[in-house]
Amino acid sequence: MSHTPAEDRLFEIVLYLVSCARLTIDEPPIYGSLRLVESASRLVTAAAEIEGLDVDDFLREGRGSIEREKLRMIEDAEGYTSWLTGLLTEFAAEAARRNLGESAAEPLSPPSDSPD
Amino acid sequence: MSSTAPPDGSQLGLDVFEAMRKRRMHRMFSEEPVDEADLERLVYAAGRAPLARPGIRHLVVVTDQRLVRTVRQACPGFINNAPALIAVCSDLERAEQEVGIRGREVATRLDSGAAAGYLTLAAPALDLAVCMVTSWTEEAVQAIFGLPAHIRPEVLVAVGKPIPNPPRGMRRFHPIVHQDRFGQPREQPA
Ligand SMILES: Cc1cc2nc3c(=O)[nH]c(=O)nc-3n(C[C@H](O)[C@H](O)[C@H](O)COP(=O)(O)O)c2cc1C
Repeated sequence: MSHTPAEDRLFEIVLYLVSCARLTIDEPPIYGSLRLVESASRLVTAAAEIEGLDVDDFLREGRGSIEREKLRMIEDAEGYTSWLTGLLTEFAAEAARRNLGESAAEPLSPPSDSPD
Repeated sequence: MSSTAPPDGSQLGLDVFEAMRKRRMHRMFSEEPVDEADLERLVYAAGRAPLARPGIRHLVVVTDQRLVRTVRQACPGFINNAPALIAVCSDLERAEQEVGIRGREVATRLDSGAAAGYLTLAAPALDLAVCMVTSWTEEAVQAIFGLPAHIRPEVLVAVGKPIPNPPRGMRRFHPIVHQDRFGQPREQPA
């Protein structure tokens, strides 16, 4: 049974997620968080190996940040949490930019006068 | 199947306290494979760790890259690129026969912990790097290595050569030390 590299990567990621799904039942929640960011990082790595799939700089940088910071959860849960909040904020802002296009760059207009 | 004599390398040596000071867990390894002779020295070290009774401790030395890759995929805590690993396992039936229920529940854990501890001390003497890994589900590890149901995997010790400038280790974790009675602080001798 031979699989394409893309199929192999898909299988690996799904296996890792299933392994984590089982293990998180036995571990404290912050470990579940580590498992999820590890999965995100592995997904970006796998995608970069697949021909025809473009992994943009934003995702590469996100992966780099995960690899640098993920193990802080072992000895600095607070630092880990604030790093992860920052990463999420960057992703959310990026999502807004991607979904709204140019208009996301404009400041939100104040709410129009409306009757109370 | 088992190593009783020290493998060749009688010249090898590192003061035991120096090895304790140097030892740390590594998660980044060089791509170089580990020599068979060094693996044999590690097997010797793990075999020399205190053992409640013979026949309980099993070591599975894994160098087949297909299996190492499988471990990386199916063991969430194996977040490293080691080219080899040693799975320290216990025979639960044998432990119970020999030492009763405490053999099964307690001796196996101490036994495998001691073996892993010896591995972490032997590694710096061989210029090797290791990481103890326990974050995985037993059944998955049993399936990967074909372990029978009564052989419990206890700890996977990732083994490889260190990279030149590994990221700094964790801050040291220290035990809480008491004198005579719990809660009574122990004064450090002057
Ligand atoms: C019983 C035990 C289980 C461990 N499990 C894992 C693990 O699943 N994955 C991992 O990367 N490190 C694991 N470690 C390594 C610890 O995280 C590491 O020892 C700790 O961060 C302190 O670092 P140091 O030993 O280098 O001082 C384990 C260590 C021990 C003693």
